[in-house]
Amino acid sequence: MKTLKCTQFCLAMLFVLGNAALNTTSAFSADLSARQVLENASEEGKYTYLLFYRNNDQRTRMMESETSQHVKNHADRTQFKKVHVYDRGESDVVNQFDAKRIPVPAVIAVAPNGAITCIHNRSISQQQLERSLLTTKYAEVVLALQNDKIAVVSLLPTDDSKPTKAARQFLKSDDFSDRSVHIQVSAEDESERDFYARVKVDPETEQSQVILFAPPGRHLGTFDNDVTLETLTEKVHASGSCNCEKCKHNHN
Amino acid sequence: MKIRSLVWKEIRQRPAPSLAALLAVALGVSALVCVQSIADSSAQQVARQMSELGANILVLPKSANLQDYYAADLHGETLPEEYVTSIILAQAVGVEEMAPKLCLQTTIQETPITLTGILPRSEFFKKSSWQSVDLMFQEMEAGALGSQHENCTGRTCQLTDESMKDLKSYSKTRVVHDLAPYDALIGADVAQKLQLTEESEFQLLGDTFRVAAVLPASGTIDDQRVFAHLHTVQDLSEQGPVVNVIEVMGCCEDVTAGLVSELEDLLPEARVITISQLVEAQVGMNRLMSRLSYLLFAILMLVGGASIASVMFANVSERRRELGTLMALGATPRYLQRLVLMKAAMIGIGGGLTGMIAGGVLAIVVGPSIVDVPLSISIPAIGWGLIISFLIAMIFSYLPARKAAHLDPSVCFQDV
Repeated sequence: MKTLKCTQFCLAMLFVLGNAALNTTSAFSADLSARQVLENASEEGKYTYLLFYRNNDQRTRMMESETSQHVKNHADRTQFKKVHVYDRGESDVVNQFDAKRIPVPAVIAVAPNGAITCIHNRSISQQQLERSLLTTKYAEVVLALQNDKIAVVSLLPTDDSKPTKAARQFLKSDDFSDRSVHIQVSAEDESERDFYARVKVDPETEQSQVILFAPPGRHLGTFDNDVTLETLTEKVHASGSCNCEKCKHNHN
Repeated sequence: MKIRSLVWKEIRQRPAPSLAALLAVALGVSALVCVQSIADSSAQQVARQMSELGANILVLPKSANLQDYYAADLHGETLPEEYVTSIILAQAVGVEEMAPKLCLQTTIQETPITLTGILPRSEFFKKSSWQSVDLMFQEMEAGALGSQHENCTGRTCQLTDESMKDLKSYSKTRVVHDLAPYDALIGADVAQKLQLTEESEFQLLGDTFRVAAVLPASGTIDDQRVFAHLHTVQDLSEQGPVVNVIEVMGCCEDVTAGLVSELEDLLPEARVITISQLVEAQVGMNRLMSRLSYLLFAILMLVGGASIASVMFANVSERRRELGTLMALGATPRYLQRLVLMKAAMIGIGGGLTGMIAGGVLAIVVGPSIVDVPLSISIPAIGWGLIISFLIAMIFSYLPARKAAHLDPSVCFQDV
């Protein structure tokens, strides 16, 4: 009986270690190309941290160490790949991120949806790396901004709630319909609590709210349910963010 | 016989000494008009450039020697293009636009041109947007970006003015929103020489380029340039990702000083200078030219004055008998004095007018090749030149006139 328990324990340990090893291989995929790592990460819903470097100097090693630590801490959500900018095998990823023209060493974080959630060169901290891990909806907001769109974020108290009237009108208006992206976030979605915390909105609020973000990362305002279309359009034009004649007039 | 007729007759009979004195005065006035016109035009050009360029900063290789803002990229030295991204990633407050450039001397249809690589704004925006999360974090935590300065957008390339989408606006804004890899902007002089029009195509270093826009004439060296995408020019030059200069447009003068030190810390391998520092040398040169022209004018006017005095003394001595005859016929000493002074005045005014014309023509013909700016004649210099040449003639001929007035007719006739 004792022998059986011992065997079971050993098997369990082997299983755990094997899993850990598999996870480690997955998080630090040295054999895969950066392109494959990005594709796998996208399929698996993981973040990819690319460390671009030229020389394996102290700065590179320090950035690698910090990023590796972060990736270990979030092994289920992240992957890491170190890319030499003159590696011909990685030229498509180097070109995609224009890595020969950025100061290196540099760490770029890529969300599963393709949004770049951070770029830091020469040094990086755990705090900065933590900030690059976003909720699904937050990553959608960032992707919209990187596609040069205005992000209209509707914060809904329940899954069934409707966005504010002004937000709906804004999205249908001639000025903004093709220049904005609508992202709806429900307070009932527990996975989005971090997003609520970052935008400093209480998820327990009973009415819908709307937040406007303009490229590259400007917060134009957080508005209550009773906001009017005029207020929203005024905010956007005042910031010059939709590049229209009215913006030009206001900005001048 | 009127006094004026007497003076004319006298000048016509003995033109050489009068002409020599006139030329001496003309030389002084022409020097003043020419140099002042060049200095004034240069100063106006500097002022115009300053107002157009605003709070601009240049990032150059340490070894680059620089004399002219518009030729800041023609020194042949390079720095890495990654410096541009460094500035973007540093999120320096006050940096509104950037314009890195790389120049390549080449020919189109055997006509020498300067091919200049420029980076469209969309490229900056792309890299700036990679910091979206950090920017959003800062906005939520620390309030609006750029709030330190009124009307400042505060961060690089956030707003796209509609005018930037018009490629022709490049000559004024020095920024283009987007530029395809094989599209080119053609300077006015090059377009005229090669008869290039919009949408036409031309061969350059083995590649076919399309004329996306012909830039309006700016009166600067840019008229002799062809602008294309920086990365295309880098490929053609085979120099890799480098630039000759990074022009940084600050949002206002207030931030310039702080921005310069921030950029110096960020890019220790580069030389960071403001447009004000650059034009300081040119302003100093203009001031020196202006002062030298006054000195030259003073010396030449003294020479002219001495020449007039000498001519008039000689004239009074030589015409002693004629002057004595006039006195015997009833001419008063005052009349003889006026006679001499009028001749001197005619030499002075004639010299002044000749100098004004000669100086003006010289400035218009020679000026542009010296200071590379369109010339306008300095009106104050003309005014001062005419007044002073007249006054010098009067002052230096006072003693000869006085001598003529004090002639004794009886002594004059002793020589006969």
